Amino acid sequence: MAETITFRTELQEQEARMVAGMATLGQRTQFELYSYCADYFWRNYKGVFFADEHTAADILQNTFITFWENIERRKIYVSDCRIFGSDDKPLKGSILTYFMGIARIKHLEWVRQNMRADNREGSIVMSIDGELCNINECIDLLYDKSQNVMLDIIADLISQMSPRCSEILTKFYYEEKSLETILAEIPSIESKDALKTRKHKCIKELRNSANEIYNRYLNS
Amino acid sequence: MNNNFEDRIDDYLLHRMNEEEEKAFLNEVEHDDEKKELLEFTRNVKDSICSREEKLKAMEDMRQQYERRIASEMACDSEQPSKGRWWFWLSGIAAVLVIGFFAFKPMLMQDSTLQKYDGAIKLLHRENHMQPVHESGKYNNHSAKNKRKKGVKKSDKDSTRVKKSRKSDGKE
Repeated sequence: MAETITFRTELQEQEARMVAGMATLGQRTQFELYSYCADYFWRNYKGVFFADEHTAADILQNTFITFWENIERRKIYVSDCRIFGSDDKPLKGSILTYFMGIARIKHLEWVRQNMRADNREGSIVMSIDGELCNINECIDLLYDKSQNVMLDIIADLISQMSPRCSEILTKFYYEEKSLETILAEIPSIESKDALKTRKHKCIKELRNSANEIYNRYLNS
Repeated sequence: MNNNFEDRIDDYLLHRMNEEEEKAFLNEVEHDDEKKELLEFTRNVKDSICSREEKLKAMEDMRQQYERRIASEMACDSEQPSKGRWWFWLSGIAAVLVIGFFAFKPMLMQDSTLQKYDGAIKLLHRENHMQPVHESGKYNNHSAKNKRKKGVKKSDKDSTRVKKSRKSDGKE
């Protein structure tokens, strides 16, 4: 049986080099990939979704973080100077297409967050790849079908946390500060017990949201 | 699930337990699916937060570097248009001069050819009649006759002047 020989283009090799450098934490390559993605994003985001510049900057930030995490978790990886997806097949298009796909999800999550604030979640019907769905279903359709969906869900929820929860959980889990130190840094919280209760509430909200999304994903 | 267990999960994840406490905790979790799930979830939250913060730090440096690069590119672009503008104006002036040259050239050539014709006519007259041409532009009778023959008309003023000049010459 004849084998199909596919040749790598110069662009594919360049992208593979950048993704490989990202995985090995090469700072120069990280900036090169960031610059490459940011240039494309700013030129083309208006063709993908509507958002003001400030929102677009937030979406770019969250998109790149997710893209980076996907590289770390080997959802996309480089082998033999080619980029492969989580299905172990080479990416058909450019990584920029993959990147903008993530941006699209981030935008939908931003829309959902705003609609949730207005109690309009689920009321708007959208079209994703020809399928009509409400916003929650649309986001589920766009989730990558991988083993660690829960990790993806948690990562997405953390990027959308309220500023207060984000501040408390970051100080507690990332900076590993004690409750007394955090209390001193957030004067609006009156007592240590109030801080503890607030922290537990944040974790509980995250957990409930994650389970809800995960169950919807399983049933989709 | 009470908050006390969540505090123990935090102590475990932040390595605030000694070895014995850790073993007891893990043993307790192993035999309770709900506790296991909560531990796993909290661990994922912690890992996600740490991963995100590390990346945010790195991205802040990258973002500043990117903005500096964009600013320097814009500065280069703003310099180039001034050079371009200089060439633009120069080429515009050159184009105006060229067009003006070709527009006025026929007119200049017409004047010069008229002069040439005028000169040629004078030359022809000299050759034909061997008579000098008066400074005042008058012609003697002979040349006037020839002119009449050729169809060149003498003006009335010229004829009266000729008559007067003859009279004045005669008196003297």
